[in-house]
Amino acid sequence: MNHAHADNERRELLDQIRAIEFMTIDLNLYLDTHPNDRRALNEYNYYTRQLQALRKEYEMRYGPLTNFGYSLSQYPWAWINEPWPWEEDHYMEGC
Amino acid sequence: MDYRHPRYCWPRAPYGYYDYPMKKGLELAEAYIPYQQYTTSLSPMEALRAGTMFPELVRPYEKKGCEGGKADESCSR
Repeated sequence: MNHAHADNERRELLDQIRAIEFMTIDLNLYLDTHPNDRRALNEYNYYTRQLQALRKEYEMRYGPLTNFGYSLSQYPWAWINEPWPWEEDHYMEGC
Repeated sequence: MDYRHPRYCWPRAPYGYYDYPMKKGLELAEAYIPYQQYTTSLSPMEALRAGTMFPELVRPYEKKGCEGGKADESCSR
């Protein structure tokens, strides 16, 4: 798998994480004012589980997504060589 | 001392507006928000792009011919 293909896969996974995380955020905000909306709550839990799985997969393959105790790191300390968000084109094309 | 009581927080009229009818105890604007009911949702990727998962809240700013703030027919919608 050449480098470009691998990087593409990584960015696709990251875009998925962003989209799913966005759903948890929006549902969370909705639930703050509608705590009894069972359907919204079920969907929040569904997306939250999905997000946790996606994050785990990302971190296993590419290293920690977050720091300060929110993500584990392999040896050596991987946080510093993660591409910083502003260092690469993080904008989703065509959006 | 309840500073929210109108007697204390009498709205200050901006300078030069002292004849403006700012009566004491005037209630400031009160906003209302109709209760939202969750019915349909955009897909995650669509929601991320639109900035909301609720189709009814998608209200992108469309560029209109309103330069200079002067409203003309093309502005009214």
